[in-house]
Amino acid sequence: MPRLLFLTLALAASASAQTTSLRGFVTDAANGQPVLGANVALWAPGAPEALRGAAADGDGFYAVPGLTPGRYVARATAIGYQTRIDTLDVRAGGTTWDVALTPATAELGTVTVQSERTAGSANVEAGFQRIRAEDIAIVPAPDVTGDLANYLVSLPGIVASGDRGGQLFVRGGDPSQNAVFLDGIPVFQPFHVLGFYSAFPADLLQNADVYAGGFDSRYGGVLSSVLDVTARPGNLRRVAASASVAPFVAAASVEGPIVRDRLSVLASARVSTVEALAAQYVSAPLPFSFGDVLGKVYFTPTATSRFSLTGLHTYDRGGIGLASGDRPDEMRYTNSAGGFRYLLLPSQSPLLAEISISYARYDAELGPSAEQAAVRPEVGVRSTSLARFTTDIDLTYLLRGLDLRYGLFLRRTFTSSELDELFQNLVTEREEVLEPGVYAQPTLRVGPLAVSPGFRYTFTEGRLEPRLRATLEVGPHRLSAAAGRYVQPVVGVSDRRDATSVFTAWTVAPEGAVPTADHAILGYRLRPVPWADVSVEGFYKRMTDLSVSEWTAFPRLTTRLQSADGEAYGADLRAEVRRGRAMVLVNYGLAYVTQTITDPRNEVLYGDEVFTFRPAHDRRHQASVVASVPIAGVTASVRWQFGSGLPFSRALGFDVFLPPDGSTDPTGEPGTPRVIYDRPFNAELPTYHRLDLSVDRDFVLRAGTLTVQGGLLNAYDRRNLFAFDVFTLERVDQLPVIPTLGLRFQTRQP
Amino acid sequence: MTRTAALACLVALGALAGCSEDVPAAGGLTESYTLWGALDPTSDTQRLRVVRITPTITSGSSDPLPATVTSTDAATGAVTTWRDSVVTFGDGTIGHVFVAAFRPAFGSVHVVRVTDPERPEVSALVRVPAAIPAPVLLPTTRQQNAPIYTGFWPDAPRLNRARVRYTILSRDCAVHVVEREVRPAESVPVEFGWEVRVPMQTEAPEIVGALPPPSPYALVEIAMTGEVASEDWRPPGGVFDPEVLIDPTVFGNVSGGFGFVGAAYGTALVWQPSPDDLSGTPFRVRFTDC
Repeated sequence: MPRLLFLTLALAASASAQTTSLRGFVTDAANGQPVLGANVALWAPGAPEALRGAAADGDGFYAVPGLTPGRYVARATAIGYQTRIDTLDVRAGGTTWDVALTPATAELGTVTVQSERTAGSANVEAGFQRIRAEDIAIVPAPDVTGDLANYLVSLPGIVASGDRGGQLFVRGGDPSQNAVFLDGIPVFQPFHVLGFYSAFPADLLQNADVYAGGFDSRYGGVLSSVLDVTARPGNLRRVAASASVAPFVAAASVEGPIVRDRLSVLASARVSTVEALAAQYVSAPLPFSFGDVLGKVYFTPTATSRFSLTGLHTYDRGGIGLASGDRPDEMRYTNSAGGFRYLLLPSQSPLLAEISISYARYDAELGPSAEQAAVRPEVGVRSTSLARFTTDIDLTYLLRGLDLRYGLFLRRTFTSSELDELFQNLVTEREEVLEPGVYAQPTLRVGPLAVSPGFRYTFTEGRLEPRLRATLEVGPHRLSAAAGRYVQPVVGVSDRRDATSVFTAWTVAPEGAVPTADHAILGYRLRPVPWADVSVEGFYKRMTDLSVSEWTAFPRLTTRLQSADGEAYGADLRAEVRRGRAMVLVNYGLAYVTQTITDPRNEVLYGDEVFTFRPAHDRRHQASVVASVPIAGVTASVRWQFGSGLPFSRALGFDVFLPPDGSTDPTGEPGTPRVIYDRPFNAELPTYHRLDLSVDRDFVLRAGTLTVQGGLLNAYDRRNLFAFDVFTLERVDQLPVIPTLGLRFQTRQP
Repeated sequence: MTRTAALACLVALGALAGCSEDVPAAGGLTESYTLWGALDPTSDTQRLRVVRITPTITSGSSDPLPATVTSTDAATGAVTTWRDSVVTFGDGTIGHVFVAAFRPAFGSVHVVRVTDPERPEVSALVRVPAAIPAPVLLPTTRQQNAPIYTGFWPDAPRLNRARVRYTILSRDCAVHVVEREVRPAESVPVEFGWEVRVPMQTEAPEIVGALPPPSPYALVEIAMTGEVASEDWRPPGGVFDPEVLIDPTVFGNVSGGFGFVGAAYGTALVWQPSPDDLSGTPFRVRFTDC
């Protein structure tokens, strides 16, 4: 590491001898927090056509390299802030310009903003989308604060298991194939058992970067998607607090400076109120209990460094089945994660260095609820654990037209499971894996074209994963593409004979059978006017060495695993219009997902050794419409979601099977109950659709702002299916129509 | 939003609200019953398990089945009506076993029918295998100095459930009986009959591993047993794999239903191994003091 840093600094010093750079941090003047996406533009006086610029990242950091020393006009802009203009003397060896932007009080449409909007539902770039807190706020939710999970399920290509279970399938991938990070710390199951909630309340978010595929070489170890969440730092200027209560969740947060403009702390806690409040007036049982605690310390040791320490703990307990059934009906899990991140900008160098170290642990248990244990004492408990130490060193060297990003990673992962023979042939020979490696992802910019070829290499496994991302942006048009190979050595196995299975056992994949995926994405976005986006994106994903549940007509509560290959392809269409505070989003996703099993037995059963089927999470059509509009002093929001039916194996009938291997006294052999199927996953469950409404209004009081929100979930009381027992025909439905009323109080901000 | 657009949205929502919320119910089968059993030409009592196919999983009912079971001798036309008997099994489930008092002739053909006024008729054509000469033990061969015993069933169309039973004395003169299934590759049709091979090179270690102390052991008797069955009693691929056979369409002979009704009778070939045979195995022929 020291040699690597020395070499980089030497290169940087050499390059900076010829040119110079302008860099610094853009922050919010009211609270000292970074302003993500702020644009800093430079031009020589009298030569505005020679504009150079850069956008601020999640730390508020920007850098404009490759400048000739001299005088420049500098302008900093960001949506929701007043523009700041200054005249600078940029000297050889680098110049720092830190900008504190003042929030604008005018309506958004009247602010003179030249900056590019980098977020938005339709502003997708080869699988990548940036989500901001204000995007989440417009989606009707059962509480005032809003949550990232509630927004994610509106996106095309993301299939949820329902409003319970916390499982998201992204473009045909399994939930265990998604990686989620909070400030660089992995969170293995960030979605609460009640599907509206995650570990990430909207008011703590700075941004959430979603890669539905084609993610670059900074990320690895998963096949399907990445959700990279950054929590905002606590207010660096003054103490602030908020508290809210709603039928599903109560929340409180406090933040403030320990040392003004240098050190802040943020703490947040949420606890479910479902059983205490919502269950009192909703006819359906709501056996959910969950909560989360998040804390962040943010420190600016020097003008050119940043340090943050983040910790998270979540807990969940939820009913996911019937107490009268043979399968365990309750899921319980916890996440505990913590880590720090140190950002350093060596002086007189266009280099950005970052080191992060973290530890994360996930424990889950599937077992009987107290009610089920009383009536079905034979139902057993299954448990699984996953823990990981991670160290990342990231270096970014900024040149004119070239960002050189590369780094080192070291991950050590531990798994353990007690499965009560859930997976009869699962042998966990390896229960830990060490992954040291390197990655590189340079980005070359030539005019409107940006190309980023990269790779990720893991030493111990000898795995090379090539990656490529590219964009071409000309006026209102943007073409984007991504491709790559992805490998997942730590796998989650689930009994996916139906999509509502929520228990995932973690294990290390055997050598020679490590799941691999190849992605290809091509997208086009049109921005005909600054307040509207339309995009279309096609994707293809091929997966090998997946572990899937073995198909059988034995109604077993356990299953065997077998190897399968998978394929997913489709397209997303998105449109977004924002005018002032009004917004309309329309999303549609079309996807085809198949899995293929090659087994000699298939020849007998299906006429061919190779058997291809639709897995339980293959949702062909998805659509959502979200709209938010200010009316008569309130903000009214509506969301309508639609999903075509998921495949399931429809039983044609039931009888008894006696092995016909010879004469058997039929009075002595009871036989085995048998399900008579046609072919696996040959039928579809009912379609899913739901309408959610909400209305909220702010009341400005002397001490702060009181927000009152009223809502109606599942407004026309659609009986959307969550789980269906093929054997008894009993069903568990998703939430019925639920009226909500939430209150939130935030302390006054000058 | 214009009035027309708002009205269109309401109509669309109303249409969607009418989309079915119901899961497609089980059903769609034309088959109505599943039959399991075998006619035995060496027995005066025949038994047949009859299972009524249901739309949900059940543990059975003691109520009489609304079905009549008969069998017809194709040669003579004689019709036998079977009697329903309710059986409660050890696991608490309930089944219906139909019983008839008759002995089907060797080589005869019978049609078993299940008639239910509410369901289509179910039937199975059953061919009873002809009587065959007694099985014989062919000359012993050797493999790596251990014997290979070969039993021959002349004229057997098929031999199912081939097993070998070993009667063994341990050194304390206790008698142990070890029964093992013959590997499918060692039970094969040959010209004019059926052969079963028992290679002691591989069998002996596994037998010894199943025995309690004290060693040594004396192998005093070997019995090969098998069921002579009709030729159609043959699974796909020649192997009885329950994971494959669980699919009701893979193997069966019941029209209008599922399952299999065959015909078979038991046979046995018994001999005492000689000292020369057992050389090369860990067994002795006898203990003089037992």
